[in-house]
Amino acid sequence: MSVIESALERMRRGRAPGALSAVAVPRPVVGTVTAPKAPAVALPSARNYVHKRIAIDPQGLRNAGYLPDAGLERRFADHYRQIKRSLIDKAFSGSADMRLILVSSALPGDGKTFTCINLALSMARERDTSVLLVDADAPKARISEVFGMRGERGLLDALLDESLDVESLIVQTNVRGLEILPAGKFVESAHELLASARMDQIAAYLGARNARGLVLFDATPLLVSSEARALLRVPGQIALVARVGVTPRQAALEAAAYVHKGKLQGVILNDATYTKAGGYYGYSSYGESGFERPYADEHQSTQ
Amino acid sequence: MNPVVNRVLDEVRGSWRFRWFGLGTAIVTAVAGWFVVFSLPDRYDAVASVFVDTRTPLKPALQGLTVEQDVDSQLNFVRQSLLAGPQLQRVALKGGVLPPYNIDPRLREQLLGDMSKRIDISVHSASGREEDRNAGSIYRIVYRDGNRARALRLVGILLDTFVTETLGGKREGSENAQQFLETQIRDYEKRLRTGEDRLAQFKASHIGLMPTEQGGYFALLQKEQDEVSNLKTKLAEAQSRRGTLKQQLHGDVAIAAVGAQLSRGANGGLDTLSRVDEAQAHLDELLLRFTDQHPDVIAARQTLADLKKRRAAEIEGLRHGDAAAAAASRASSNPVYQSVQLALNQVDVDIADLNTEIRQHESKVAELRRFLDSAPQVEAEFAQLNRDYDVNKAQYTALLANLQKARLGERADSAGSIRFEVVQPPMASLRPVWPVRPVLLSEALLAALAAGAAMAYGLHYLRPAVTSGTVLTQTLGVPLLGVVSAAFPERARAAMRRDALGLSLAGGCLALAFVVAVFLSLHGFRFSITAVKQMVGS
Repeated sequence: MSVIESALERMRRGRAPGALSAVAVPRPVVGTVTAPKAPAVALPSARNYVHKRIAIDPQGLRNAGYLPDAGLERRFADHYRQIKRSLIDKAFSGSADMRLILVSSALPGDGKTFTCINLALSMARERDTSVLLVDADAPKARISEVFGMRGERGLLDALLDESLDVESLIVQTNVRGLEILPAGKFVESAHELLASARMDQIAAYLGARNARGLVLFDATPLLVSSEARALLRVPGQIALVARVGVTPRQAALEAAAYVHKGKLQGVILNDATYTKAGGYYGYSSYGESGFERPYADEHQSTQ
Repeated sequence: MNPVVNRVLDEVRGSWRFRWFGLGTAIVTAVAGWFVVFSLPDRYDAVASVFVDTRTPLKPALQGLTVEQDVDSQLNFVRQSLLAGPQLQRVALKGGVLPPYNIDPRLREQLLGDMSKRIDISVHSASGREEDRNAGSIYRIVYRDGNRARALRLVGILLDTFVTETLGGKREGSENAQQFLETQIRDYEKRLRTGEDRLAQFKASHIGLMPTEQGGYFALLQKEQDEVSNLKTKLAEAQSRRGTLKQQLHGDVAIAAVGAQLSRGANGGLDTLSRVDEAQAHLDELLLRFTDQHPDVIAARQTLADLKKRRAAEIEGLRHGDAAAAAASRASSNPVYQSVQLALNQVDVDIADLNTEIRQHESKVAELRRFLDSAPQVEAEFAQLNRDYDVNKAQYTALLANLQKARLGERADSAGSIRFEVVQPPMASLRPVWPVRPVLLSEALLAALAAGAAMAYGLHYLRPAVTSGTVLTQTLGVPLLGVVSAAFPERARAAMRRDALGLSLAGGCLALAFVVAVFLSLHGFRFSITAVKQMVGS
């Protein structure tokens, strides 16, 4: 059973604290607040907003290529547990901006969105943290699209319109501890907007609105568009995704060169093929011819 | 796993990313290569072999008799002259490589150069051992051309030219040699004649001084002098003998002769000695019958005394050599006396002869002595003349012998001292010797596959992908946050199957194209650019 399914199951049970989930593994759930806590920064009160809620359809996600095949959940859960552990540890041991985590890659097709979604879901499973997934990939807005929020107002609108409260744009999901901030309507000045002081403001707000909350930015590829580079100053932790056997080594190194050394937490290798010997190798890239886009783009299915 | 194996596998996997590029490159290269192979011009090799036997039965028989011509070098000369110069032009005109009318010299030059490059003449020893030239040589003439018929025709012409030129060239050389010899001989003849004239003149003007078989002037003089002294010795001998003989005749011999006659008394009492004997006997008889006073005895005694007196007178006379006395005493009728007399007479004749001879030789010596100063000079001059003459004569004789040899050699040649035998008449295989299209097609395919592999590897080398992440993390100095495995094995497998299907389809097409190309090549398919141009043009 997938992470999402177990979360949904929990929700179906009326968010009963202490209740056993349908999963074989007993999973004590502490009562967590899904509503944002009091913001540290002076912003319009968030409590007043009734957040939009969406239901996540795991099968749809899987068909769209953003969840692993059925039967691989346990393995993937393990992968992402490993990845999130050091990120979470650092997030709660340093300043507030350490809870802002940006995931990017060198080129499109490295599996960045896949990583973001799965990492967010994995983080949401943490007992006492929640996660806000920010779709900062303004040109493509892949996350917004996957979750059926294309056209919804989002980050860019908040940046453009100072009167707009970003809190009002956050969408809640039926997965406990997972919120999503859509990308919003793309404008040509996205780079400048992301580089503006307003962005800093919003980032500060997002970081402050929940002391146990993590903010995960899905950024544009570093070598393709400038938006991600504008955004790099904002988060305290940055992780780069590289797809084994696809991402050119040189591109990965160039992308890493944009990132401030102290912020770069590490590299996530995607799409590796495990061998029985325990090692792994890449090049499972059948269907692509080296330079091409990932399956996520090709097998996009409508929600 | 072994790190080396790992690394190799990494490279292979990395290159595998670009398999479609590689396959595309291979297909394009292979097809292009096949087009090139099909548009390569054909090459037919027409071959003819000539066996040149320089070891005919005549050769050993003529060893040293004829002027040897170096056949090998001559054949080489022919080869060289075949491959360059007017010979080649003749062949080209005959073979239709050059048009019969005048063309641009540069074009002609080019055509001829092109042609000479297609001719290949090689020599092998017939015995199989290269150093053994005695067994005769096999000349192999090859002409390669795109047109089989023309190749054959040209090899035929080359073969003819080769054979006739070698024979003709030899004859010409031999004739030249003979002409040269003849002029030389005439020249020497003239020289000899003048030499002979001068020698004759010289001899005539220096008669008596010419060295003879016995030697030169000094030898002659010496001989004459020796002769004189020799004769003188003989004369002295003869004279001494004559003395002895004379003494014998007047002395003891004569007396002995007379005495002998007396003692014998058988000669009819004609001589005094016998009459003395008779008188003695008569007296003795008378004394038997008479006394001493008997007149008969007295008379007998008187007679005996007279006879004895006469006898003594006779001996005396003989002693003085008195012939009359001798005759009277009848000594001359004695054989011993006679023989001594004969020897004496002979010696007298000898002495007379010797004297004459000595006089002759002495006069000769005197004559020779007169030339004592001029003789050596004449002799030297004569020797000089003789030497010149001898040298000229020797040379002349040698030249004459050589001329005879040359003539004989020529006759021997025409009788077949060099034998040509066409071992292999002009021949060419029906298939072009080059290109062997199936082989070239396969090679092109292999090369194309290699090019494809190189392409894939090159792309991988230029754009290495992230593999295990160690390079990345080490370079960046950041940890590896984690590794996520492939999320959609089913889909990946499906994609792999599609990919494999596509690859095998493309590979199969390539293989099929290869089979078709080989098939076409075996059935003489050619692709000529000019033909395509013509087709497009029409």
